[in-house]
Amino acid sequence: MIAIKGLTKEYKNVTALRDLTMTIAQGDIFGYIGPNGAGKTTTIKILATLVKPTSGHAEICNYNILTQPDDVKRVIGYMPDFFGVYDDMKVWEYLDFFGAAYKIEKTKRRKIIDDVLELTDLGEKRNDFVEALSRGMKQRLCLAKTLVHDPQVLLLDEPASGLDPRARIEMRELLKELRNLGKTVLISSHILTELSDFCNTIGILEKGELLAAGEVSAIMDQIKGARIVEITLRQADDAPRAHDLLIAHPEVTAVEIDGADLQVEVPITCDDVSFINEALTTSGIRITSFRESEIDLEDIFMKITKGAVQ
Amino acid sequence: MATGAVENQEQMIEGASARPGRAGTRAIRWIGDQIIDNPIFLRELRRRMRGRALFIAMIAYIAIMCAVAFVVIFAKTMEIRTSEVVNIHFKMKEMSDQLFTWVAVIQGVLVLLVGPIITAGIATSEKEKKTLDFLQVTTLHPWAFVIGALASTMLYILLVLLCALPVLSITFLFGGRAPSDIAASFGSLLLLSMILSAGGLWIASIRERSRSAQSALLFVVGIIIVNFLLLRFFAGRMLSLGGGGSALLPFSSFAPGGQVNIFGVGVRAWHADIIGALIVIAFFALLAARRIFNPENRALSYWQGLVFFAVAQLLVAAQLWGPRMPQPDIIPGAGIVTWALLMVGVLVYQTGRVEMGNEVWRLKRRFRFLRGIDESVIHQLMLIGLWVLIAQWWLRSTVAYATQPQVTHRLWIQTLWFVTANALFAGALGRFFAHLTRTRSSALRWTFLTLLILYVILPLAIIFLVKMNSAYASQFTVRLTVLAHVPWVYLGQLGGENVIRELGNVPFEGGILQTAPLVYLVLAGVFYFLAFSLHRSRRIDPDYGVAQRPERPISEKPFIRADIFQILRRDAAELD
Ligand SMILES: Nc1ncnc2c1ncn2[C@@H]1O[C@H](COP(=O)(O)OP(=O)(O)OP(=O)(O)O)[C@@H](O)[C@H]1O
Ligand SMILES: [Mg+2]
Repeated sequence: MIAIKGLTKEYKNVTALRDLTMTIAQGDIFGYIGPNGAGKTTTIKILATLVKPTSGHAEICNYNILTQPDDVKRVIGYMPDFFGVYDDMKVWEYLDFFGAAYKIEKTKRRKIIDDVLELTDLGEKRNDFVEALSRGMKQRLCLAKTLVHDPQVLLLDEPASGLDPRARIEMRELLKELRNLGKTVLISSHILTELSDFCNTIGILEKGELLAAGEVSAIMDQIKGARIVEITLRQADDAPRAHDLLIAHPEVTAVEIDGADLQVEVPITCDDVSFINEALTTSGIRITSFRESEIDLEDIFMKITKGAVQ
Repeated sequence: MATGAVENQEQMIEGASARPGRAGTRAIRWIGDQIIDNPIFLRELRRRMRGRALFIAMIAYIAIMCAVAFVVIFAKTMEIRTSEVVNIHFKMKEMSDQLFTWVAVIQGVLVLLVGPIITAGIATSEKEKKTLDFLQVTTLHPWAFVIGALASTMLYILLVLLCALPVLSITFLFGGRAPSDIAASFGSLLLLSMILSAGGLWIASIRERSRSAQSALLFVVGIIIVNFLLLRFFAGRMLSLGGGGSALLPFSSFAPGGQVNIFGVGVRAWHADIIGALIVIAFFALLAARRIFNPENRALSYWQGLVFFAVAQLLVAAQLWGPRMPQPDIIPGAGIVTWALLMVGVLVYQTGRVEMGNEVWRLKRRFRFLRGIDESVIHQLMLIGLWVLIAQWWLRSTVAYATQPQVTHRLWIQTLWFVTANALFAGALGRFFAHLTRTRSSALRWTFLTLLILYVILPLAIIFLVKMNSAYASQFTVRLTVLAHVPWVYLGQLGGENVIRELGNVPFEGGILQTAPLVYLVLAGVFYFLAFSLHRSRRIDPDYGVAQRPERPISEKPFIRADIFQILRRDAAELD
C-alpha cells in the first residue's frame, strides 16, 4: 500500500531523512514515532507530494509520488500537524469547498457531507462558522475534510496534538472507527503510549533514520529483550582487542567501549553468557568485574519517544 | 455512517470526468464548470459578499464619484456665470471632458490597485493561515485556482466600473463623449487591471509570507511606471513610433512606424493592444499556476518555456517579414532584441535549480543514449535550435532584398554561427556557476560579471588602447580581440560596418573572425564539463525508481537496526 524506498531529504544544512525504506501493508494502522525533529512530518509531506525528496522514491497504492502525483492525491487523505481554517465560512461550506476541490459532483456532495459530519460527530455544527469551533472540533472537522473523497490511505500528522485528554479519547475512538472502515493509516506522534493500543505496526524514527519498524509486540519484545553485560578490564589498552574479539562472536549484537569498561549486548534468547568470559580469558585479557547491566531500555525508549521537549 | 459514501464515491469521481455529450458541448460545459463550480470562485464570492465591508466600500465609492461630479459641474457653472463671453456648447463639452477624465482617473487608481491586492491576498492568505497544504493535496488543478481567483476578482472590478456608469452617463447630456469612449475606457481598464491582478497572483505565489501584499503593490507601481514612463514615452514618443490604440496599454506602440505588422498582415492598433494584453495575462497566469501549489517548481516547464520563447521570437520576426522590405534601421534593433531574448532564455534556464525537474524524464526513459546527457544541455540545444529556425527565416528574407546578396549571405551565416557559439558559451558559464554556487542569484552574479568583462570591458579597453597608441597595441590586442570582439562584430554586421568604424577602427581579419566562435565553442565544452563533474554526485535517478519493486511489508518482516540500543542509550545520555 505504502512502499518507501531509499527516501532521503536534505535541507540546506540538515539531513531530515536518511535512506528510509519500509513497506506498509493494506489495512495496517502504522504508528510513526520519533522525538521532535526526527523527520516524521518530512516523511508525511513527501508521501503527500508536498515536498520533493532529494533522492529515493515512494509508491502509494502503486502510484509513484514523483511521477504520478495526481493519482496519489486521489487516494490519500492528509492531515497536517498545523493547519488553519478559512474564516467567514460555515462548516458545511468548508466541506463543500473541499468536495468541489476533489471534483466530486455537486449533487453528490450533500450526502457525503452528511456522512462525514456524522462520522466525526459534528452533525449539529453544520451551520456554525468554522473559526468559532473549539480546537478539538476543528481537529475533527479537519479529519472530516480529509475524508470527503474517501481516500484509501490516511496520512495523519499528530492528529491529537494540542487536545485535552477527553478530546484525545474522542479522537482515538474516531481513529478506531477508521480502522474498522478498512483504511490504511499512517499516524505520527512523539508519544508511544498514545498510539500503542490501536496501531498494529509501529516505526521508530530518530534524527532521520529508521531504528525499528514492525508489529508492536515484536518491537517491544526486542527492546525489552536485550541483555547487557558490563565488563571492566584490568588494562584499558586491551579494550580494542577485546572489542574485536567479542564483536566477532555470533551471539554478540553490539559492544561499546568506555575506557576500560565494555558493554556487551546479547539477545534475550541467549541464556548463557559465560562464553564472554571464556573468550576473553583464553586470549589473555584480564577482567576485574563482570555483571549484568541494570539499564532498563524500555524506560529509555519511552523517554526518548516522548521527546526532549515537553 | 460513511460506508454508503465509501461505496459509490469512486464512481462519482470518475463520472465527473466522463459525462456524455458531444465534444463541443462538453468543452463549453467544462469551461462553465471551471468558473461556476470552481471552489475558489465560489468561496471568494461568498466571503466578499457576506461581510458588510463590500457594501460600505461601494457606498463610499459612489459617494466620492458623486462629489467629484458635483464639484466639476458646480465649478463649470460658476465659470459660465461669471465669464463675459460664453460659448455655452464649448463650455459644456469642456465640462463633460473634465468629468470623464476625473472619473476615469479615480476609477483607474482604484481598479489598478484593488485588483492585484485582492488576488495577492487570495494567494497569501492561504499561506498565512496555513490552509495551502490542504489545497495542494486535493486534485484541484492549479489552473482552477488561478482562474477562480482571477474570475472572482474581475467580477468585483467589473462591479466597481459599473458603479460609475450613472455618473459617467451625465456626460452624454452635455455631449462630447460617446458611449464607445466609455466602453473603450472600461475595456482598457479591465484588461490592464487583469494584467496587474494576474501579476499580483504570480508575485504572491512565489513569495513566502505576508510581504507578498507589499510586493504586489510595488509590482503594480513598477508596472505602471514602466508602462507609462518607459514603454509609452520612450518607445512611443522618443522613437516616434506607435500611435492609436488604447491609452492604457502599451503594446501597439512597439510596432515600428505606427503600423502593427504580423507577417505582412496589418493589424489595427487596438487589436494589437488587446492581443498583447491577453498574451501577458496568459503569461502571468501560467507563472502563477506553476508555483502556487508547487513552490519548488521551475517558473516554466521546458516546453512552456520553449513555447513562450518561440512566441516572442516570432513576434519580432513578424515585424520584419512580409511583402515589403522592412525599414533598414529596424534590422539591427530586431537583431539585438532576439539575441537578448536568447541570452536571457539561456541564462534563466542554465542558472536554474541544480536539481532538474522531471520534464524530460520520459525522453530519457525512452532513449537510453540521452541518459548520460545533462538535461540542461538538451534544453540548451532545443532553445538555440529554435532560435536558428526562426531567426534564419527572417534573416534570409532580409537577404533577399539586399543590394549585395552574396555579401549579405555571408553575414547571415556568420551571424547564426556567432550567436549560436555565444549562447552556448554563456549557457555553459551559467551552468558552471550554478553548480558551483548552488543558488541562482550568485550564479547569475558571477555569470554576468564574466560576460561583462569579456563582452564590454575588454572590447572597450582594446578600443582605448588602439586609440591611444596603435603601434604599441596592435600586436598584443589583435589576439585578445579574438575573444572580445564577437558581440561587437555581431552588432556591426547587422547595422552595417559603420558601428564598428566609429568604435575605433579595430582591425578585423576574416580568418580571426571565423575562428572566434570556435574558441567560444571550446570554452563552452570546458565549462559544461566542469559543471557536470561538479554535478555528477547529485544526479536524480532517471527511472524514478519505477523499475524497483519494494520488499515485503514490515508487518510480515520487522526491521530492527542492530545498533538500536547504542543509539537509544546515546540519546538518553544526551537527554540527561
Ligand atoms: N523547510 C525546512 N527547511 C529547513 N529545515 C527543515 C524544514 N523542515 C524541516 N526541517 C528540518 O528537518 C528536520 C525534521 O523535521 P520534521 O518536521 O520532519 O520533524 P518531526 O519529526 O515532524 O518533528 P516534530 O515532532 O517536532 O513535529 C528538523 O531538523 C527540521 O529542522
Ligand atoms: Mg512534525
